[in-house]
Amino acid sequence: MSLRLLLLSSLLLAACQHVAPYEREYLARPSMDTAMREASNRTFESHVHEAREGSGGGGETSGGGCGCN
Amino acid sequence: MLRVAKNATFVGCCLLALLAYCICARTVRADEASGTWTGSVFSDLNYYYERSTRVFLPTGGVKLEAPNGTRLHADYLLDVITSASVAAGRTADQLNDEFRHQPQVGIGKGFDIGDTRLDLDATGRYSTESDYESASATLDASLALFEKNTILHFSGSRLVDHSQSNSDPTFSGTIKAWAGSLSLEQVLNPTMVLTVGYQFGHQRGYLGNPYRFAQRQAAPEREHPPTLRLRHGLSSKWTSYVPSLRLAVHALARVYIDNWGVRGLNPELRVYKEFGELLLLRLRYRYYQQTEADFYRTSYPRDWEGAITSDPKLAHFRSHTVGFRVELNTKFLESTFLDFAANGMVYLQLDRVFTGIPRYGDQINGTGGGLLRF
Repeated sequence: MSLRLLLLSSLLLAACQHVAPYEREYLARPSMDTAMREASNRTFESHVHEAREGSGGGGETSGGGCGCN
Repeated sequence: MLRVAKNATFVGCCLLALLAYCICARTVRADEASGTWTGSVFSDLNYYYERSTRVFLPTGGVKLEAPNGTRLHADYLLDVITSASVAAGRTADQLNDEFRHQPQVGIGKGFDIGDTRLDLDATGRYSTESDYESASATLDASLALFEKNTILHFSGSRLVDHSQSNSDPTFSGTIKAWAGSLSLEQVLNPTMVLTVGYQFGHQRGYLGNPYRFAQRQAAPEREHPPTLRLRHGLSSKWTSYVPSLRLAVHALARVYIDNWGVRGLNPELRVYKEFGELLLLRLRYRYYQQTEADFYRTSYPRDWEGAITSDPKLAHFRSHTVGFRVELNTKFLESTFLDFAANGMVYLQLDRVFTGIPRYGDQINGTGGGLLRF
């Protein structure tokens, strides 16, 4: 399984091309670059996942709140 | 409580040190000559509904960027629990009877080193409610290489929590946790980006809920799960833009494993459709499943030794989430009397979670809010 993932990742990375700043028109579209605009909602969603799912959290911490532990 | 306060002081000291460094550090930026400050303000109202719990969660925040590139951000979150969870021992609805306050402040700055850009950000957070206190510090660092074609991101957090029980003054619990994540974002071509990441969590202390009791031979006993939890997650995100349809597809996946025996799998598909330059619609489907913790039982025998819990989220279950989000760019307000709000957006999001946990039932999550840039 991990070997397949490694192989797939290598193929994807080998297939990537260098994109110059003037070629980033599509990458900068609001539908592609959503991280900043959805940041506040992601905090809420992470908190809900951490409160109701056993595998919530992990790479981040959020203390307190209903059902937090 | 004293430990949490000390931790909060430590967080404050770290932030002040970073602030001093950012103010003193020199980088050349376009806005430095004009002395212009830029930034944004946002305000959200989040709503969570399930059979046993309803939560209103208003949030507001501000981000500022100084002419020398130093970023300051602060936000405040109020958690208003309208009907406390059955898991917390309530037998009937009690309106607005629990409040949680969570202020958060942070500071960051970007540094150009040749073609590479290093971005540092430090955040401190404090959360307080009648029976729970939490303080955390997070350091984020990202390194953009090859004209932003490759971005490495690191995040590390330290958290100290202290819990009490309003129904049992003798109870006192502490959690000390470390968490970290590493990710690699790679532009594949002018319409495609791939991100892979690893998350790690280390929690030690009382990791249960003091209000939750497990059944041992039909007699209630306060749950006491293991005091150490090591968590690992692997995530990936593939985004692709289809210019002819003005549509973007985001495919996300996460696998999770921990030393309690919980294994999680979580694929998600999001489709974003642009309507003109003003309207963006997002549709999503999320699947979640997990195995139960090794020590989870609905009822424990009298001679059971070791950890016990009645936490439904440590049982085997799966859930399905469907939802939408609509974003409206406020550019259309230009040249009207609301011209000051033309550089922003308003949004509405609604998700329905069909969950397999009978105690909680299905969930509805909603968010409405707005963001204004200046």
